[in-house]
Amino acid sequence: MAETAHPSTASAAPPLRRAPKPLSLLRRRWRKFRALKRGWYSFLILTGAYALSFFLPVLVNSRALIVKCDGRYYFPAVGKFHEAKAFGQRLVGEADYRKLKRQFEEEGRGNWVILPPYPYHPHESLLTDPELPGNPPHPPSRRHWMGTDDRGRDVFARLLYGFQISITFGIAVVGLSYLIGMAIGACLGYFGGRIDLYGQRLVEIWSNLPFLYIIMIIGSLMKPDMSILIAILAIFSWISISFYMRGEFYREKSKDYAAAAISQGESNLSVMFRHLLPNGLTPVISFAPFSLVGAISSLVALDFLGFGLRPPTPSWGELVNQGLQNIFKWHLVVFPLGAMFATLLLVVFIGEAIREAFDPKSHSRLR
Amino acid sequence: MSASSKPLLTVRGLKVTFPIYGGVLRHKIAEVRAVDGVSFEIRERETLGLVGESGSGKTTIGRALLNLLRYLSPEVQVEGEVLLHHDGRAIDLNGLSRRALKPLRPEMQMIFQDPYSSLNPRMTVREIIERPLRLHAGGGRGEREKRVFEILERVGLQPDAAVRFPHEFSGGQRQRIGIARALVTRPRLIIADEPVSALDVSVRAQVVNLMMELQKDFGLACLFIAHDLSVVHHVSDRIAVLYLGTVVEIGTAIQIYNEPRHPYTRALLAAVPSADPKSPRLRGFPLRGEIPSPLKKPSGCVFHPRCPIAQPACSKEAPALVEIEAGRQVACPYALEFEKLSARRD
Amino acid sequence: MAAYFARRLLLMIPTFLGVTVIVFAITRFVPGGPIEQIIVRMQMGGGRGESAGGAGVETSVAIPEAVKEELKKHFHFDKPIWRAYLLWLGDLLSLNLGKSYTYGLPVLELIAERFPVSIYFGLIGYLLAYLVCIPLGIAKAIKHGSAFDFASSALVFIGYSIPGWALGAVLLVLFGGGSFWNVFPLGGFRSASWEQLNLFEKVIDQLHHTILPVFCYALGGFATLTILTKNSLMENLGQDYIRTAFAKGLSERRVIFVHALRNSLIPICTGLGHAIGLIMAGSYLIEKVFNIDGIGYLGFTSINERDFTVVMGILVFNTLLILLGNILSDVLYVLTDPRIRFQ
Ligand SMILES: Nc1ncnc2c1ncn2[C@@H]1O[C@H](COP(=O)(O)OP(=O)(O)OP(=O)(O)O)[C@@H](O)[C@H]1O
Ligand SMILES: [Mg+2]
Repeated sequence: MAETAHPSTASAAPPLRRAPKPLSLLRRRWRKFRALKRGWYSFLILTGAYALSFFLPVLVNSRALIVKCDGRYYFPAVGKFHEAKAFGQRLVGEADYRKLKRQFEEEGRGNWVILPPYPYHPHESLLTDPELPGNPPHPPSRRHWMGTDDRGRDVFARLLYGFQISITFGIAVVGLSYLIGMAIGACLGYFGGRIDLYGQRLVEIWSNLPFLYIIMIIGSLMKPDMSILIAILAIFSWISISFYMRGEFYREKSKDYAAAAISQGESNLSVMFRHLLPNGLTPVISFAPFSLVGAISSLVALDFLGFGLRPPTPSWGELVNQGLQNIFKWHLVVFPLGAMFATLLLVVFIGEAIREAFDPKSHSRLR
Repeated sequence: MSASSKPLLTVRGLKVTFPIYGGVLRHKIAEVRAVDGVSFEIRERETLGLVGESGSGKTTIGRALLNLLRYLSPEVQVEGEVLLHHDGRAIDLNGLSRRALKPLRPEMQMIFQDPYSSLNPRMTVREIIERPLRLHAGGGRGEREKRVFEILERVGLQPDAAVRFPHEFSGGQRQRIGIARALVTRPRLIIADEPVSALDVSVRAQVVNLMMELQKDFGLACLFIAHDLSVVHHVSDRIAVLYLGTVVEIGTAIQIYNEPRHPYTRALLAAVPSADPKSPRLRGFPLRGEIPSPLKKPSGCVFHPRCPIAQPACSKEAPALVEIEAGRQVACPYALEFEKLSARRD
Repeated sequence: MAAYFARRLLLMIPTFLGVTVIVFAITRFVPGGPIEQIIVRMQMGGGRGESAGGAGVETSVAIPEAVKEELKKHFHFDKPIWRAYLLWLGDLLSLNLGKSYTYGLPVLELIAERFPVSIYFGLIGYLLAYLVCIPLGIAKAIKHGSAFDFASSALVFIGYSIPGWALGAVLLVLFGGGSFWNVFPLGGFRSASWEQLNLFEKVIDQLHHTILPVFCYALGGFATLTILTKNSLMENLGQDYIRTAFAKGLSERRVIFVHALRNSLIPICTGLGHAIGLIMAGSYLIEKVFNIDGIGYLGFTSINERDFTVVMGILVFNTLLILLGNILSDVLYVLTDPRIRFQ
């Protein structure tokens, strides 16, 4: 550990103002994490990709970035909805900007359209697109890198939007389930006694539920939207972190610094959150990436079974389900699962590095 | 040691019982009476030494005085009175709610045995010491800062220690930080639970001397807990000897050290290496056997199975503390006949 | 020890009751539960032809009137929930799980018919995982830090990042006779022509159908099992008693295989009890991928068909398996670890 890098005697240290700011435990671990290249680069790639995914509306979209029409500028990708009529298109509803681009080029009146780099929207059915003959799902082509799904929607676009949804969903599930698990585990470990005794029984009951099956039942009954599905998954996945938190709080509470805090008159909440929690966060941080793997693969699995997010949400699992309906449509299986695999692998690399940085002695690593 | 005779804390009939759970339904199957009817008094500016073997209940008493047990093990039963003499009133701390207790907290602070676990590793030294001030209206930011640096200097640490984390310090330095934390609220009573037994022998004296110096300067009373008499008799005005949760002898340090009366105190003293081999003081005898489990306490006098002068009556009735001379109480009716009885046995 | 197991067995009862109460409550209170579906359908006109004109995509299946009555009777929807639950529980205790309306057969019979199929694939898969992971874990521990350790870790990372069913889907489009190779059948338990095959062909056919699903089950436990073996062996190799054994001059082989391994395998053995729960969980996905008519697929279709007698029956069955698996784990723990004395 980096401990040796700091002078261990106070007397040998320079006076206050020039003293290098000592590093908290968290900071030292963060440095260690950054030194573990594979995990660090995975972290950069994944966070970079996730950040980039918020710009998907201007990167992968059927709406044009800029339309210049008769001296006026329009920004449909980020701005408001424009009817086809506004640009003189004879269509009902929204303008078709790909068509518009060709139209303007043919007219040569100085009007132009700048389309996003990949001009297809994940919800957009391309069945009426004249450039896409044949029946869906279409195989990969120059225009549609990963083909289309059974409703003629561009698979690549759905994949990318699906990435954002999967990560957001996973982070939300992990966040919420950790909140629940930490609160429950912290209370059991901290208060102990009867609360712990009965609480543990309840947790045991909960932990024996066949989760996947029950979520399938709820999913089929409720047709949940994203936030409800997040809540359901979180409600069923807080168990393991609550065990760890319980153990941490139980152990930390028995240390004298906790007794010292109580004897100074700290309130229970203050002891729990100000004193114990920062010391009990190691398992939370080092397990979170692996829980994220679990949450994302649960989403894909539920979508695959048809009990996940409501259509037409872009979803990896739903594509796989379509792909398995027809054995020849390999692109509907291989691409989304490849995307899931790449994402999860990055998360696992991050998790592995975090674990090594946080818990250098433990053998509980993947290597 | 300028102890007055005004009492600061009076403990009467303190009993602490821990339930033990087990069996098929996790019900209570037994009880551990870790402290069994302990009474003593700590006077203002006085040091009371509390001595006993491991498991005799020293830490439990210290925690009971600070009302910490309830929080550490919610099923614990604490009976008896812990009277804090405050503004001319005696307040029974036992059974006081946390809220009612809070304003009294600064009056009593604890110094812990293990300097490694007693400091929060995630807080800087400054945060650790400043926290009690924040809790108890310790003035504004500047005022608090002043007091933190003041106390750091008093315990012999450099000001730059304030921004460091506990792991950067040695055991002795950490214990100084612990002392600073305890003293920063200007308490009247310090409970020091084996404050030096986890330290290197080389730094023990420094820390003990620091404590004695601070005690004099701050006018503190102190309950000094230790498992043998070697340090205690230097620092204490009076000493209470604890065996299996009961006080077997209590007296001035000189009385206890030079003229122990209870057979157990004699045994404890035998374990103290004497600096002067020719010292005329009476040597004790080595203890036989192990300290019994508090789950299976012997009947009658708890010490009788290990006592060299045990009489048939000892296993029947527990002896009460009796004052045998000014300032000394002993819980052994045969204490004064020790020589005679032990000689007869040989 | 006896008290410990007595307690575990006793605790099964409240656990079982708790689990069923929770799910029972879910089926009744979650919006869109069977009762509400019936009400909605009734409001929409006599309960016939209701799916017409609705959202065409939804795969809601019409429930015949008679079945609704059956359903109502079975779940006692007309009574308060606690009574309904007690009645349901009473039926359960007399081993009456009710009758499936889609299959027209007793639920118990449906489960009994499909469980062997599920357990066939699942168990072989897990055994395979144990057979691969334990030696691999040992080799990794012994050669910790070597190129071999490093290379096999890549496999572990991959195994951790791809769920078994997902790999199954990929393997199926690659080898199931789609656009690429035609090596394996599209799934199922056996060929339709099973009855006409001779013994040799039967063996081949069965193997042919077994390989891919079993591989998926095995992958499910691969990463964790390998790492568990490796870490627990490494931990043991670092222990004092192992150093003593080396110091006594015992051969490396003997120390590793006799002394360290025995203790390292304890956590792995105990895992066997939990495997049953994992197999069940895996079956919901893997059986759908491979069209295997096992319990997982039965559960999946019953949920879709709103066949709640079957849904609840499988829940009961699944929960019991998990609970028994936990106890089995404890028993294995006691059997393998002489140091353990449960309180
Ligand atoms: N939370 C608890 N639950 C049950 N028993 C306890 C608990 N805390 C202490 N005890 C028991 O009370 C007795 C006294 O313990 P205590 O820690 O006070 O001894 P001690 O004199 O401080 O010993 P040491 O010198 O080892 O610190 C011991 O027998 C111990 O087992
Ligand atoms: Mg102690």
